[in-house]
Amino acid sequence: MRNSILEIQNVSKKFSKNFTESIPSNLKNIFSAKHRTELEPHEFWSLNDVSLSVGTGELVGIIGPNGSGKTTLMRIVSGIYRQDIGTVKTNGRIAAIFALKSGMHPHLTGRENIFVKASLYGLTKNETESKVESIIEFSGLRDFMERPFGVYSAGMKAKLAFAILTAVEPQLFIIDEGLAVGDKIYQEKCFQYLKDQKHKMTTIYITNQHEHLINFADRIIVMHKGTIIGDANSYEEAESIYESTKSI
Amino acid sequence: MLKFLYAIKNYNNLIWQLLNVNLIVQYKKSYVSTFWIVFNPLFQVIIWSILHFSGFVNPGDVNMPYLLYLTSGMTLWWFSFYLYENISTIFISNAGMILDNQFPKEVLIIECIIRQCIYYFFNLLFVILTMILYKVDFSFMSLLLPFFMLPLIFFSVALGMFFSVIRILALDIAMAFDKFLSLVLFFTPVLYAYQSGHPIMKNIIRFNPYSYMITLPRNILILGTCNEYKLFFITLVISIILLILSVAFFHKAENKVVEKIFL
Repeated sequence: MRNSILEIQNVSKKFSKNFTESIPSNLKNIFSAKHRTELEPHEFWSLNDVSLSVGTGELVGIIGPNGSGKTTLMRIVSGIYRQDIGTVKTNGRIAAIFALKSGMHPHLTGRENIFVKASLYGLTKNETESKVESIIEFSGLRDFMERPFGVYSAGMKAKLAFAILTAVEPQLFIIDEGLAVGDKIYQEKCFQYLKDQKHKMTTIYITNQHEHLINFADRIIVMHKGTIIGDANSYEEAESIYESTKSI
Repeated sequence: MLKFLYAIKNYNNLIWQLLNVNLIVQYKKSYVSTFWIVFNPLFQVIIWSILHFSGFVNPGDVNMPYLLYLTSGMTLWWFSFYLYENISTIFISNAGMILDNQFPKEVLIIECIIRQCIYYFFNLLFVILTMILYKVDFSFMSLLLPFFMLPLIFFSVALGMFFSVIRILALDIAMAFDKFLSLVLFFTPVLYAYQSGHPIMKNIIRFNPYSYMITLPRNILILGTCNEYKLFFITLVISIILLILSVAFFHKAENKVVEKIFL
């Protein structure tokens, strides 16, 4: 039995349906000492009683229709959102890609952006300097490093963002569609890297391009309407569970 | 407050990177970037100087040359206003970064404070130039200016942190406060002395905390004196209490606010 790097137990998260309607209760809740867990008329459960355990070194894929709660769940795991109910326990450093351009500045060069983005993950300047060469090497963008990030194509941005994350050396790596825009050769390079790092790194990969998970994921979690409806050990099994969501 | 120390210790690189982005990159397309930093207070000084010297504004007995009174007061006022404005909009202006990365939000507040202090330093050079122009004797007491600015800094940061949360949850309240704060300028001894004007106006100015938070550092800078130490310590204690309350409120609310940024 592998050690668990992520333990999610009975996690629920609610959001407002209509922000204007929720203003009075938002203000009331913010000044109230009590944390309210019941649902109000203007709210809905974005995640409902989700439990998941991920072992060290696992490559986990998460699929599900849009709005099924995949990104919300991973934002909770990353510490960006806080769950309303339940517990989330993680062991080790987490690094996540939710949006490629996030934290990158279009007027800065690729090299300068390496320093900005790495600092967002808590890397010091010295740590970043020692890893700049390997980041540039991994990205394959050496000839573009002195050009403004704003002129990079979407694929080039993805390459640089992923390459910076490799320098963070997280124990838990979360990728939310981060590789969808890269070219096929680079995607394969990234998947191979994630497989090679299995001994020390766990990966959770959220995607709507299910074919990415063939020959990659050890497990595929299927989500629908804020709940986990399947935990499959093969791509085919996951696909059949996913197909069943169309009739729900 | 421990979260601030944690942010400084573990994310100082991010603070400097954001400072670099906001100070230099923001003006990368400009030839005279530094000028834009000092431009607004300078522009206000020019307008009010014209009004004064044309005889439209009678500032009363300001106890020093009017231009000096105006530049020193105006730069302190705008320093405070921008500090409030920048901190109160951190969730909106950094929305993408906050939603996609987990890092202490205190980093953004610390960066705002350092950035506004740097801007103020540029403005201060302009005030010092005006002091030289008027042949004001230099006093070593003037070096205490940063200490005498503490109540103004703490108060502005406290307001900014409180309204950064309110701005996300109830935008109308925050916008109403923005307008109210721009009105407060006219009830603060920045443009004219507090002895001048209608008795009601005098009373408003007397009960306006900005009156003391601007007058005392101005007197230390220009006159090299402070005759009201008791008032200074009262404003210092009140601003520290407000800051502690605001920090506690911010920490309680920040996670609830993040998920509502894009709603």
